[in-house]
Amino acid sequence: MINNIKKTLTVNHACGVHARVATILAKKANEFVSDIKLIKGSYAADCRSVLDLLTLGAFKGDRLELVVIGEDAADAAGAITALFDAGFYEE
Amino acid sequence: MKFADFILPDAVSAEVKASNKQGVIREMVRSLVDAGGIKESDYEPIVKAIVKREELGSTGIGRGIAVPHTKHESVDRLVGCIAISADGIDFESLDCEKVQLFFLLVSPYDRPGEHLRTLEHITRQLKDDTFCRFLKQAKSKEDVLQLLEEADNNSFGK
Repeated sequence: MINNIKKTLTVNHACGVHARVATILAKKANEFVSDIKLIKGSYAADCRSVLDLLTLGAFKGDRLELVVIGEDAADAAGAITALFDAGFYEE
Repeated sequence: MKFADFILPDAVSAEVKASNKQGVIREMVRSLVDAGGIKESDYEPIVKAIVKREELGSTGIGRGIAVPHTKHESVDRLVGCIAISADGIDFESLDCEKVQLFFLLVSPYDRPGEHLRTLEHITRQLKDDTFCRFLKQAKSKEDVLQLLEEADNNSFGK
């Protein structure tokens, strides 16, 4: 069954979504089959692509829209949200 | 932001000589020294810092592109250089593809925002397939500088 989840996430990490954070997000997104997008303004990034994620220029305090479509959408959205909540497990 | 804001023209190379990851990092930091962007005495510490950063996870961000970088106290503004390898170099990228386009950045400690904006600028420009393909095919420093100037003048993606 295809599920569709949309929610807003806030970047809490002090340095924003920089290369290492983007890599953590992309690796996590690759664990799922669903299509996972993070959107800021007119830029929509495929969460599997580090290059795409860096185009967002997502700074601390920025609000990103998470859109997940697919069979494991609920699990994928939960995993991505958990990374944001945990500050991407960085200092 | 423009490429001209942070890329040192004299530190642009369309012909990487190195054939491995550490080699290309060394070659690029050397080009920053030769272009006057960083001091000779900072060469080795900056190479080590970039290699250490790579150990945390490759900055090979996919599609044949890598953005090795570090913060360093010796610079008071972000400086960068570009190197192109026609054959590509194994950079342990997430997508396992060899890297042909390298953008190496050294930024001051106190300006993380400038670093993020620069990554945003580079990746947004490289999302343009034509620009990305032409850069990978560039045969000379002059070709690269011409392409950067055209990108700075918004000639791509229009």
